[in-house]
Amino acid sequence: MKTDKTFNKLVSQSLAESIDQRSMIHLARELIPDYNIQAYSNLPASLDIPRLDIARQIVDDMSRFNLLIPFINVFFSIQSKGYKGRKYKISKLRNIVVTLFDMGFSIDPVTGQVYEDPQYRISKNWGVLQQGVDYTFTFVWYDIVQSTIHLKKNSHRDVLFFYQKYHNLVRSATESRNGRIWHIEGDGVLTAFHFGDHSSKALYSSIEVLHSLFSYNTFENILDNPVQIRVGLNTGVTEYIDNHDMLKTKDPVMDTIKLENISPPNSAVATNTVMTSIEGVLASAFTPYDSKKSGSYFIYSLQWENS
Amino acid sequence: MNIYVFTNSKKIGSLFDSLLKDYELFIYKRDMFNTSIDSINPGDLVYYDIQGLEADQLYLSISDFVDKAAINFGIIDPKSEIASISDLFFAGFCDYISKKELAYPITPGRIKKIRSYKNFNLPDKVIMNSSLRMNIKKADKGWHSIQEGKEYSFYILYFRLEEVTQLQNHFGYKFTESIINTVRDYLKSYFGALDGKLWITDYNKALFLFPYKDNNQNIFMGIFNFLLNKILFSGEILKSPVIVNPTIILHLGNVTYLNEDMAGKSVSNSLNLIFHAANSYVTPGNFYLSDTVFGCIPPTIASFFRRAPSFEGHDFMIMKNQIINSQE
Repeated sequence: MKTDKTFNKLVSQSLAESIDQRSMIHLARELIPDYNIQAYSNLPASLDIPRLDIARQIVDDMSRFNLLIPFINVFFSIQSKGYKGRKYKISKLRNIVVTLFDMGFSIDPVTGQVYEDPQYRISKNWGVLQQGVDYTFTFVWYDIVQSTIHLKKNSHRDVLFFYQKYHNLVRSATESRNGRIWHIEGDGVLTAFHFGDHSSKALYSSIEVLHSLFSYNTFENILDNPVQIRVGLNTGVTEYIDNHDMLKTKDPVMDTIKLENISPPNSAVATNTVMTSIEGVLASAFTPYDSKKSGSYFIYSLQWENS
Repeated sequence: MNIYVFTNSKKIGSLFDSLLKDYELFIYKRDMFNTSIDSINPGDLVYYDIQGLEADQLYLSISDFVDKAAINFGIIDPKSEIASISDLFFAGFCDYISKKELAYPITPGRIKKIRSYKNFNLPDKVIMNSSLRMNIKKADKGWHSIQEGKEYSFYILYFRLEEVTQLQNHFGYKFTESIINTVRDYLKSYFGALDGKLWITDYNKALFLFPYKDNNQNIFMGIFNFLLNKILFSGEILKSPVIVNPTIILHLGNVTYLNEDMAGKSVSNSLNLIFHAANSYVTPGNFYLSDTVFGCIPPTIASFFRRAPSFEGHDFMIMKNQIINSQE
């Protein structure tokens, strides 16, 4: 997204007051590897230029390429993680954060990363992820058990009505936890979580969808049979790709979708990678599950006594 | 006597509509049979649609019926799949609705004949009707109708958080208190949306009142969904290390309404029953319905309850447990 001049000025000042010229350019190259400040400006090929001029040029260039928010994320990380072995204190941090909130962004409490506030905007990349860059995601794949039977036994209108309801249930459980729906293909829905404690958020969202469908079956179902779903969850590192066909070829996504062959109906099955740091309530709810088909997983099933 | 119909056909279900004037009628989908049967009272009449069942399924279903002989069963056979109708009657069934008969509505006259043939012995006390014996004092406009000092019928909900010791061990006393406050605030907002008002609080216990009025069945769905989602409530809202299993008792009774400051001075049989049950009857961590409530709840929810021992002259139902932590 494009940012306004006042904000750009604020970030330029902060950059100039926090970090030396050479490091500023190195930071810019984190996002544009061959970044050459002279290529976009009339600045001389010398570093004997005022810091503020360089900072302004970098911020303007980042803004022009819609990279200012990712650049701010890189910039913010130097305060907590340091940069090339040195720690920095970011000047005007508070002012930048307050302005970002006003612009509809939030700060992830776990990573300190800036992302779009879902109350204002919901885009597939949270407004900040870059095409082709690797990130860690927790993916959730929802699939309706024997969906073709519902299509055969019910009117087209009733099935469409149900699908709308189902997609809304998944959307609500996902987006309320800052996840994103990445792809819908009929009864299959792929969601992704990246910010915060993304594994827990994904697990909770899957439980909410299972429960909401159970309530739907109990109180509202207009179809001839109860609707059952299978849910698969997997955490992995993959590059962010906007194109779904290409995304589906990535291992962490393929591994997630394959879980529909393992998950029993009305259950969510998670791989070890999702459960690595899970404790408390979720660790009680998801118990070890030895699939006869392949390997060890964790499972949550909705069951009642005597039923 | 209540009539239950288990069928997957909306058309067949609608054939029983003419019985609504004289009987309580509940139409369920057929796969609800196993979960609903325990909540059906002796003396009730149950119709079961056998259309599309495989031969072995049919055999199992019929055996199941015979085992539950205290309830009266009829068969609906839209495709004439039963080879020997007489065998059904020898096995204790009381009605058989054939394909041809399904062209017409089922009439009250037919039920009268069945009752005469079967010589129904209705139980003296049918739980489903006990709320009707109460002197109901409705508040049609909810809290807008309620005046202090006057008696009204309320759904009275008792709530007790049971995991206090575990929370204290994990978080300490002070933080546990803040969790209890979170629970209270959450419940105030959650039940407030269902017209419930927090009336009495005592540390980890709370008593809510919901004015009795027509069409307030949302209360049952609300409590049901709250318990269904207790994992999310425990983990995401309370940040609790354990899944909380609150004790909940729901009773329909008459109470003289006093404002919250004076609530502790209100005296009624209903309040006595709830407090006695909470202290000396319930198994902690369960959801109980008293007999006055059970007749009001939607059949879909009723199927998630089973009978519990009676207490102080009242019958109770207990909600079946959701199984968490099971290994398939």
